[in-house]
Amino acid sequence: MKTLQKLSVGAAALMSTLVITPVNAVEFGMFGDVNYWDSDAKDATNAFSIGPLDLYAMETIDDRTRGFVEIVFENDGSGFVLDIERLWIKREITDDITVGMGRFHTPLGYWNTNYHHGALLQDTISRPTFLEYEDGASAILPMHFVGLETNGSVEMGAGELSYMVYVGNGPSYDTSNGPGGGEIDVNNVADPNRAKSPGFRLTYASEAWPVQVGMFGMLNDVAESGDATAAVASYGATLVKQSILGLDFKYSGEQFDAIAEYYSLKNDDKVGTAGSHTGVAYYLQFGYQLTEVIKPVYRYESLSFDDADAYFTILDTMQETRHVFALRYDLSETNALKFEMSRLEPKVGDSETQYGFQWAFMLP
Amino acid sequence: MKETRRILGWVTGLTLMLCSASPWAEVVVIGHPGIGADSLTSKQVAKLWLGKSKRIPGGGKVKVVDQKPGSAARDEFNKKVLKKSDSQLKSYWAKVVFTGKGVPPKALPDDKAVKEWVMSTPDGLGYVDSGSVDDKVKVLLRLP
Repeated sequence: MKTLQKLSVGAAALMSTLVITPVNAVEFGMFGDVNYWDSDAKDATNAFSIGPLDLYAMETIDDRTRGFVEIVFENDGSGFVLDIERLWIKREITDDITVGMGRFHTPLGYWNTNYHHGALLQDTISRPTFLEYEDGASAILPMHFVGLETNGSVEMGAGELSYMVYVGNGPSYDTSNGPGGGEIDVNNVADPNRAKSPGFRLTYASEAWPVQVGMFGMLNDVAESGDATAAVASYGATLVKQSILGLDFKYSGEQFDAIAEYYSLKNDDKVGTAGSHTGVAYYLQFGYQLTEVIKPVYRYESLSFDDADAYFTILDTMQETRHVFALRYDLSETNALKFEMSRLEPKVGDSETQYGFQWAFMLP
Repeated sequence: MKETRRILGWVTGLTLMLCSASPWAEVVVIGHPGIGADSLTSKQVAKLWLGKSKRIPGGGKVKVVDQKPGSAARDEFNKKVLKKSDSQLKSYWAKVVFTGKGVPPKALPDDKAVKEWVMSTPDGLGYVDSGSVDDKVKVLLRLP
């Protein structure tokens, strides 16, 4: 009888433990999109395309610890590849300090900290050109980093000040295939040299106004990762010392919203004699929620730098401005149709108008 | 006689069941007695439960807890305060989780569990049916 009582007590205790376990201990989800593109560029062809297939999972390990993984199947031009886009574990040390390690989105500006690979999240089809991911043709910034991050927030006046401080592997570039022949490597598992990239982001969000302002910075020693015989420098040598400083702003009204970001990139050539130059990139985006489901958006982007800037020479980047007109139609919380027309105006060469249509969705 | 008792039993049982799941039950937002605020607005409560804010005016940082999906209190709270259905909330939290900005509040099974958690968590907030409230917790908002 006593054994039975003990078993009953044990079973009751186990049941109570099970009952108070958070119901959302593991979250799985998926983002996807299908597209159609056309362009007025000479020899351009129109095409349907499937966008990246994004799968993610987050586990609440305990009240203070979370693990997250995001993998993406995407076409790299020669076939579908699998990339680990984010993989991190974070622990809340105190209410104001969280520490994490892994692969993160680099907290540069508003866009890269809020919009990830799931196209449904952003109102336009495309990201601002200068914020393309590292494997994009126009990429100029390391949009991910592998390292250590700490973040938190404190009450300040009538709002909240949030911070992120991080350090990770420095970016590198393989110059052996010539200008633009490679992509910015954020070095997931090794680093060609001992230089690490530190950075920060501070944001202040007002309680009284739907406004958030941010400031961010990052230091990079962009290293050579190419074969010494074909590359411009020996493996691990610093190609460019780079400092990035920027500001961002977000206004989220009931119907009207605006996002603005400004980047200053100071690049110091450490291999050749190009010297030090500063490039500027920025965009302004305005959206208006016309009805509950229809939202037109306009964005203006600009990227300018000295022609002699070694960093942009290595990447073979174009100076350009771009106008983006988009119309988003939300079919539900989990899928949306988007139409986009963009006009790209490079400093040198022909302008191009692109037309895109996207059906983006998620499985929550 | 036996038949009458059985019918009465069924009627009583059904009545109790309907009352416990009544969509007209009054839901209140409760907090630990030590919470620094005496009342909250629906807007402030919505921001807390949607993870858009972690602080209350004059009360510093707080933690919030949900009730399990399908509970009458949760349905009422979601409809009147968060103004979202369960499926809309699921999509909302999926986006928040994906951007790494937070996790949904943990969900406890019923009013009793929520009240116990609030009583034992100095910065804890929850919502329960008003019938469960006593002076061991502070009522911060009565749902409209």
